[in-house]
Amino acid sequence: MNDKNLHITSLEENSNDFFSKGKIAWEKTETEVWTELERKIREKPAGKSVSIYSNILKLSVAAVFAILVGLSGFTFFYTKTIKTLPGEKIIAELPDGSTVELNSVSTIKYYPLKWKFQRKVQFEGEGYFKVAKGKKFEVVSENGKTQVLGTSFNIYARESNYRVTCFTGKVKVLSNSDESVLLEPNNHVELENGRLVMKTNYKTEKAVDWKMDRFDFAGRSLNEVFSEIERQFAVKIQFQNELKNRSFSSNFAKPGNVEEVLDYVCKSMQLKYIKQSDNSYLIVKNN
Amino acid sequence: MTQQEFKVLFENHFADVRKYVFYRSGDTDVATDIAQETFLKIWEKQNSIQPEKVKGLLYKIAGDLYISHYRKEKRSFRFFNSFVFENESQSPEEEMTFNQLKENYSNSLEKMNEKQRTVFLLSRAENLKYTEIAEVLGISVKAVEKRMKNALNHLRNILKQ
Repeated sequence: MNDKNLHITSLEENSNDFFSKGKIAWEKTETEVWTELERKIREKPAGKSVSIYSNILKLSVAAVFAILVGLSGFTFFYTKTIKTLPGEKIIAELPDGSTVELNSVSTIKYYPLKWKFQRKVQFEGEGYFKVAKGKKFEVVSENGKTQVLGTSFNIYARESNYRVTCFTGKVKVLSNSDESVLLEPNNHVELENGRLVMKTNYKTEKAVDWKMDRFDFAGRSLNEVFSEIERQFAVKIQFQNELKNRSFSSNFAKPGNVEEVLDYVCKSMQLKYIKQSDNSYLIVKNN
Repeated sequence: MTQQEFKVLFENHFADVRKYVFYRSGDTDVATDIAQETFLKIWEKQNSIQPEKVKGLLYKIAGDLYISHYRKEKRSFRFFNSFVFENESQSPEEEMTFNQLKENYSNSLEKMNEKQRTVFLLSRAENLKYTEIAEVLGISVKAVEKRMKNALNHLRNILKQ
């Protein structure tokens, strides 16, 4: 067929055109690689020996150049990161007075020097946002993005999950496939199989039970339940893969120690836990 | 080298080094890991490096790391798993053509010998000049021309079948 021949002859001739229409889908961005690298070089300082013959002029030219490039790059790349550890909760304040209450193992990152022009934060984990009135405020996570003008809302962005609950004001939520929904107070949206599913008249206080040291699992997978317990008590929990997607529903106050929670969850799911070491537990079926 | 200078070096060259390893390996994870390790190596032995040679050295280290990695773990060339259509400002028709061509390229590049394929991709996908390719690979321009000619012949022949 002619059409096919056309493509065939173009393979060696028009390849520039073909390659210009595609791009490489990297798993890690350059910024992520740099962050890792920065941590590694802090652990491995460079050799200290300095050559006596090093040319001072050359070095100063290089230094001036580096400072110039550095300064202009600085405003663009300088980021501030706030992270919570397992078992930790904090309230972070942003330059405009907006606050974010962070649940355990959550990260918020923003560009302080660009803040005046762009209110944008990168966020993974769970947090309750109270945004000061002003220009557009944007929260970007791996699985979705939320835009607001001035309001309060809760975001849960962990693993493949993305959930947003709106308390006051209006919130726009966008998925990675560019689907978007507008949330009003008492609306809640969750990513289910890649689609945004909205619930109106949602009991919003459920979404922020974590702030009151309560657990609220409404038909959540055991995987999610155990991950949350790991984060709240800074422990490691292992379990068989087949248990991962079993669903668990309950609402209870966070007990003082991890074994009480495990006891509670296991009993209702016909499971038992085995303590392996100080901070490590194995969950198995009860038989 | 201060950390700030190192960061400038990273920002100037990381993307290119990573793409270079990707063109050779066809694996984005391998490319990212090797490019990162390359910069770590440069940082560790920075005092013995002359600034004007740093670029060549980056490619040399990356190439060497890739070869030792490849010896341990031979994999098929899966470049096109990670090479996707650039969605912005292009039509669905263009996407269809793109995907059709992608399949053709995928089939023929998989069977191409690695040396020819790397030269071909550096030239056609990265738009490097022959002199630049020669510099990156540490070979002569004549050798680049020869590999490119063979690569094009390969494409022509495989498609006649």
